[in-house]
Amino acid sequence: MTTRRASMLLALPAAVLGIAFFAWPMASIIATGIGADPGRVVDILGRGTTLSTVWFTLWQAAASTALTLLVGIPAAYAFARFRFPGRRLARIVVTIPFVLPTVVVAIAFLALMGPGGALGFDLAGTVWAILGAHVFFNLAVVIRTVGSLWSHLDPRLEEAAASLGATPWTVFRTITLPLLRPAIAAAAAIVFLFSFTSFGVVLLLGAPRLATIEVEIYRSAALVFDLPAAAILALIQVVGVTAGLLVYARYQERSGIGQHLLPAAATARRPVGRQRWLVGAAVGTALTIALVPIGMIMWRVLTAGGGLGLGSLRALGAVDPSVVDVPAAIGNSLRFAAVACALTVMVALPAAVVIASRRSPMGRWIDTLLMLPIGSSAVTLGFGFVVGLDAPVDLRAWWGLVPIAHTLIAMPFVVRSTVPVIRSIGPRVREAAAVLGAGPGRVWRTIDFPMLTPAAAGATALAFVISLGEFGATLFVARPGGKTMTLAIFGLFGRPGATNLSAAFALSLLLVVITGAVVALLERMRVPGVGNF
Amino acid sequence: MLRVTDLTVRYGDVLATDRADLTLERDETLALLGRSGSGKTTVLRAIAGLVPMVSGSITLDGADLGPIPAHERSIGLVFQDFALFPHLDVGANVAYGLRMQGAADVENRVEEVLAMVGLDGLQRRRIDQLSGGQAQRVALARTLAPRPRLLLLDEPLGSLDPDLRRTLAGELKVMLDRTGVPAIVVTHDTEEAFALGDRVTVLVDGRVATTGTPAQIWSEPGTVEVARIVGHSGIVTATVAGGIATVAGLATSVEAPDGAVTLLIRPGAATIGGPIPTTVISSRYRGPDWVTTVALGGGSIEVSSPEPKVTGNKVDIAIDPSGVALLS
Repeated sequence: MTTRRASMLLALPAAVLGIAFFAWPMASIIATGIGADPGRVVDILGRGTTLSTVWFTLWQAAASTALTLLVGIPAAYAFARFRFPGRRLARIVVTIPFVLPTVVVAIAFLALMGPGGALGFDLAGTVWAILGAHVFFNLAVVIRTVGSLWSHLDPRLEEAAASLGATPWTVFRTITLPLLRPAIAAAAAIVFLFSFTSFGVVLLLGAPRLATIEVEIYRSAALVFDLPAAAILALIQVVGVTAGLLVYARYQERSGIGQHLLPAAATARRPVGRQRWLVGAAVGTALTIALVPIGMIMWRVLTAGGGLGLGSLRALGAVDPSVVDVPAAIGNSLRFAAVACALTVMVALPAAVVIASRRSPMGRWIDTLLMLPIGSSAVTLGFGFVVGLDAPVDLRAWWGLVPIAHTLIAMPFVVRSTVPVIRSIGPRVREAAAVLGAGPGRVWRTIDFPMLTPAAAGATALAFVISLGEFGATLFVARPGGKTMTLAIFGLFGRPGATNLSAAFALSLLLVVITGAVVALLERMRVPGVGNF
Repeated sequence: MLRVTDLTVRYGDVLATDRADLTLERDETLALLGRSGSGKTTVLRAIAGLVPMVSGSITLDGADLGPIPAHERSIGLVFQDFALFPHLDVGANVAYGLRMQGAADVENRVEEVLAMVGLDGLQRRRIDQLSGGQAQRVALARTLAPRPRLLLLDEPLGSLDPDLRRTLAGELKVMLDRTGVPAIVVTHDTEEAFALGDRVTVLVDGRVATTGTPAQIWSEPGTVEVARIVGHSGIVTATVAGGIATVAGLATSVEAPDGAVTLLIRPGAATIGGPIPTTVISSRYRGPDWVTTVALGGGSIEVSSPEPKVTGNKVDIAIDPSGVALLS
């Protein structure tokens, strides 16, 4: 479909963006870290806080992963194998947390289990709040990733095992679980990565005692101005993340080996008897986890200022603009998101076309390479911009850095959701068009383009949501006049006063509504992706 | 030994089987023949305990199977497409049922069963490296290994190439006879049903239409539907008066009241040259001869001819009355 030259041309924007705004900043971080004098490096590595931060980052990520799998696997089963009323809506609902901005997730959990929270006990600053938020945020990854393989597993394999004398539990242990292993491993790797690099949630819920490497990078760089320490932490982070991604890529390759997969519709049935309880419990738990924190935000908005009402929406206008300029933040967020969408269309989608057309092992490596920005984490990226983009041209005060950072962070998601769609356009269809008399340009225009449009639209919508919710990189890169909604929420939350708090909840609700609408839209268009990677 | 009485199974609003009855004797292979959607696979799944019955009973050696879950029935089921466990090798697939029984000496039994199906030494082979015929044998070996009381085979040859099917049908028959395990084979292929079954039960729309030996079913299908399933094409309408059915120049005695009846003219009963005038519909080459289809009594029958006939021409034929059966 694409000649060598055309594919180079298509990949060029992504390459330029990647080198200038990803590789160069990363190299600067490495230079800063290694450039520090060796004594300092040893000193930083040997510090108690560094060790305990790394240890905490690791174990909370492991615990978050285990808990998410525990809740997510039964729900994945229920969604994959059964038809029940409201299944589609329930799927949308459990997916929403995944696209919520981390700051909003943190605020929801503070409202739920923070000081004066709805649950009546204060878990803010403890690992429980962090674990809860991570399960909430990542549940969709497990439900989607594991569920999508599960829905295609041939149920006759399980029936065959039963007819050979295996009890239901043995069937699950010896047949279902091994067959699902690639999907479970991939989901676990992703959840682990997200929890390992968790920033907004830990910054707000873990303060003042608990910090992940990510939070520590921010504190070292932005609060203590110890750039070598931040750089060394960032390097530890990148190494850990790369290791995780390699594990993920390994399982990604292996998924579905030699399996006879069926269309999902052929495996879903109505639950009967005891199954009804199981499905009810699994879906109910997932829905509760997804809905209660979101409900908390709504509740706080509705009950702000005493009685029931929309008082806190008025609070948005009442915030002192010299503290946080709320209208400007909304405007900035929308503007940055629009630019990020435009960049996605111009840069990420052409790159996806190139990646999809390359079926060699190289393609897989590029694929993994593109996953790096999520892994190397938003804070590291933002930090890299700050230390790296002062020369040859000092770009650090340029507003364009924010949408560029957002585009890079959205890139893996965009590529992941579009590449399978592009690959699914079989060569036969193109050949058929060619035989019917369509030239290469016509084939692209009449076959590829219309088939790709929904996926491209979905990917762009995804970039929009990711840009709106981005926090870690924006915190570093945004200029004083260019604060976004997530930064405004963070700023409002850190300040005393009922008006500020109400406004923080109102802004959060606004983000929930926008992201929820986009998820519903994506689900409606049946765009693969979101949690499907 | 197996008695299925009044079996009814529903999928949602669809009646998959409707008061089906069948029996299976010791040392017997029963073929369950029907079109797709006739409920034949459902009967197997109900016997195996994989679908709940709405009503009816299934007894094995006099014991009611109803309350016994699938994994405690000791009934072997060979699935269509075989359902081999892709994450296990051949040996582990065959050993699966033995391990569930906690059997001692699993390795030896696996070896023995693999040898029986002619796959000696393939224990370590991966499932995705098997040919279709090998996969079929592994599926059979896996099911036979734990010595089931009853063997159920769902379209055992259905996913194989036509060539392979014919060879394996013969082998399968030999293996079924040798193991001595009573078996039910579900198939939509008449040739396969006749080759494998000591008796054949024909299912139509979830109901048992008829049961008998292959020869009985072939020569006396009883109903138009069964005659079509068996593959007969010579189905014509005749008029009965005083116990004699007439169509064109054919007259044969039947046990039916006066009026219209449907007759089956078996292949080979009609020959070229005789008292019955017909019109040629088409002619196709079969190899040893030509098969000419001629119009008769509102239907058509096939006649063997040494040379092709021209469509629309007249041709006279004779029909041997012993090759005619009454259908209802």
